Amino acid sequence: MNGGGFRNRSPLAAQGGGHGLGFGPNLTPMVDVVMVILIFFMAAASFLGPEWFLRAGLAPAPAQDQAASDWSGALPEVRLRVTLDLQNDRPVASFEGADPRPLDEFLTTFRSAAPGLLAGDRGRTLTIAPTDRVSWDAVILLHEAALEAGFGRVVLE
Amino acid sequence: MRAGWHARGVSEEGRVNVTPLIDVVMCLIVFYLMVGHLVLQRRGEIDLAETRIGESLPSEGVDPLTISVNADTIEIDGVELDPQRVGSVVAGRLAREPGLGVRVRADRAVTYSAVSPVLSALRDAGVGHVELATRQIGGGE
Repeated sequence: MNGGGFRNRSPLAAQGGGHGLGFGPNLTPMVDVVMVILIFFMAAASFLGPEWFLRAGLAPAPAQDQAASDWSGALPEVRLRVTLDLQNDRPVASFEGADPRPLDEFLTTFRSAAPGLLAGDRGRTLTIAPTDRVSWDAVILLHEAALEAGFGRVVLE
Repeated sequence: MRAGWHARGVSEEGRVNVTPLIDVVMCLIVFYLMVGHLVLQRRGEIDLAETRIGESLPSEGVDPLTISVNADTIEIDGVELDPQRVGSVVAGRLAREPGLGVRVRADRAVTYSAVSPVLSALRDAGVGHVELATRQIGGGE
């Protein structure tokens, strides 16, 4: 490897062998490597993309829910509940009592209508009730849409 | 003139000195292998769902409890676990470290049936909310 990271820098060698005039190890390859590693770290971090998080509440068990429903004079928290299911292998979503619609279509309507309905009230909670067959991706899509629409809290059932 | 040749990696014999190039390439290869291995180990080969919004939550000094859900495995802090034991393990950790944050990293392709038992176990253990890991859209471009 041509002497590795060291070169023959002795004055005698410089006279006879024609090498450079400096003494000590040649740091150029090390600097090269460090720079390459730095650039690679930056590129890798950018390539992998940052991981981030959506906060989700966990709906209380039905028994606790029932106990909490004993009215104590305060107005109960308004909760909207969206059911996620599959129809013909495609995710569908619906508010309670409404007909299920394809998730894409539901999300488009939801994104445009929800901000007006919420009227800036960011204290509202949306409960997502997925069935076991629904993909996690669909749950996250609806969760994201709810946060974008202005819901203050999203709860998973 | 000699110094200039050396600085540009050209030897006196008129040949290009390829030693630094080989050094760098070898380092790159080793580094790629190591980083790839470490990243896969850390991320558990989970393809997270992509979102446009989210929060980069700080760990606030204490590492949160991270539960990874894959098609057929559940891991807590990198240790594979039987699904039936998730509740007891989480309850044990929360008893030792009250207020511990919980993060759920689920593969986007799994069905809710894979995640639901984990959420139920967390709920039973007294966890009120979780942080769902996603990947920023465009973060990988």
